[in-house]
Amino acid sequence: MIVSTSRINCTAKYGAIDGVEESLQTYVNHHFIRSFEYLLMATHYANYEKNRPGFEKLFRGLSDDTWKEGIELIQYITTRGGEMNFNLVSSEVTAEEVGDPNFELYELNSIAKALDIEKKLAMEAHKIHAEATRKNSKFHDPEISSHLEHEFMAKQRDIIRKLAGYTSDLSALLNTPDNSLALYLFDDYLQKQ
Amino acid sequence: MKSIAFAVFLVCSIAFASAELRCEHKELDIPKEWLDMVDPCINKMRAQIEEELKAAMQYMAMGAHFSKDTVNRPGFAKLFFDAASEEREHAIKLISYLLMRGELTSKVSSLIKRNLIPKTTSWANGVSALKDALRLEATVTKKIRDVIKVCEDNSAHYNDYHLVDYLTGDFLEEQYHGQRDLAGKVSTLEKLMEQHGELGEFLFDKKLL
Ligand SMILES: [Fe+2]
Repeated sequence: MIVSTSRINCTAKYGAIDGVEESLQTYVNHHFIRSFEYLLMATHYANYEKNRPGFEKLFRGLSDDTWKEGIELIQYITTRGGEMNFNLVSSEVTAEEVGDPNFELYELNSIAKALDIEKKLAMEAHKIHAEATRKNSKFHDPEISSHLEHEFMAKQRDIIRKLAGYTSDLSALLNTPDNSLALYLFDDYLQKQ
Repeated sequence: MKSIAFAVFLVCSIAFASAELRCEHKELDIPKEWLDMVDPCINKMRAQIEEELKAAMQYMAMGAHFSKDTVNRPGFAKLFFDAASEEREHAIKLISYLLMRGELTSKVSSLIKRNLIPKTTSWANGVSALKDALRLEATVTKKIRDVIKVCEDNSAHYNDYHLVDYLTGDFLEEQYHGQRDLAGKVSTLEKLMEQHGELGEFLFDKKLL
């Protein structure tokens, strides 16, 4: 007897993965874009003129994290029966390309930039979460919203708090008479984190 | 509330201004004699960084393909995701080298293109992906040889002995070992598939885990 599998749905798809698949794919691509941007920021701080190993470590860590999360998110999409599309980028993120973005920033600006990036990533997770919590069967998917809550949101909350704390400290320190020494000490502090 | 927001903005802008002042006013006086890399070689190295990242994203697409439930080859997926991260590490190693030699003090922002979209995103089977991986590595090897060639002999007539040695001993070493490994995998899998088809690929996949 030949068993036909064509009439039953043998894929892993259930719930509302189709409704948020494109948003998740876009989210993956944004992670890789940010990972490369953080890598450029780390590179800038590692040249002999800037020579701030603490800042390098901070941005390199953020680059590593966004890279890893991008891979894990692809694995998650495929766990839910979806697939990856590397072409999708939001119009907001595409618009950033206008006027050659600069990643060679001064210390406080660079941390403010990272804070901005992390907030954008967090808000994007909120948006996808909102899509997956709409109360109609095409979108409602508590497994996706719970995954976002557990795998992304808690981590994002902590990174945002940490970076915001750094900007507060650094702003205050830069208002002291010796900026150079303040930056040196702050870099040394970052290196030990 | 508004006045608090304004006060915060003011504090921020003062802080920004002072940070910028410091940076703009302080002229560094570091001897330049030790900076001996020449432009043709530097540019080749910069381009190679992006090549490694392109390879990383191509492997990423392979990892994504074999993770699909309808393909379900977790061993292949793992092999390719790991390869993607390895390629990224290669890019970082090249960056670190240039930094060590005193380069990348400018034009860092244009070092990597925004998103490096992989060209191929689906494969007929495991063998065809492994063959693509082997071809990809062969082109990377060729590009590293090109970097070596330019850094050894160029319009500036400057042989960069140390970089040439590093690329030869470290990068090419890894390329040749990696290529041999992939070729061996293609061979084993193709032989398995000859007699056992799908079963061969299923068994081979689990070996990769
Ligand atoms: Fe490589």
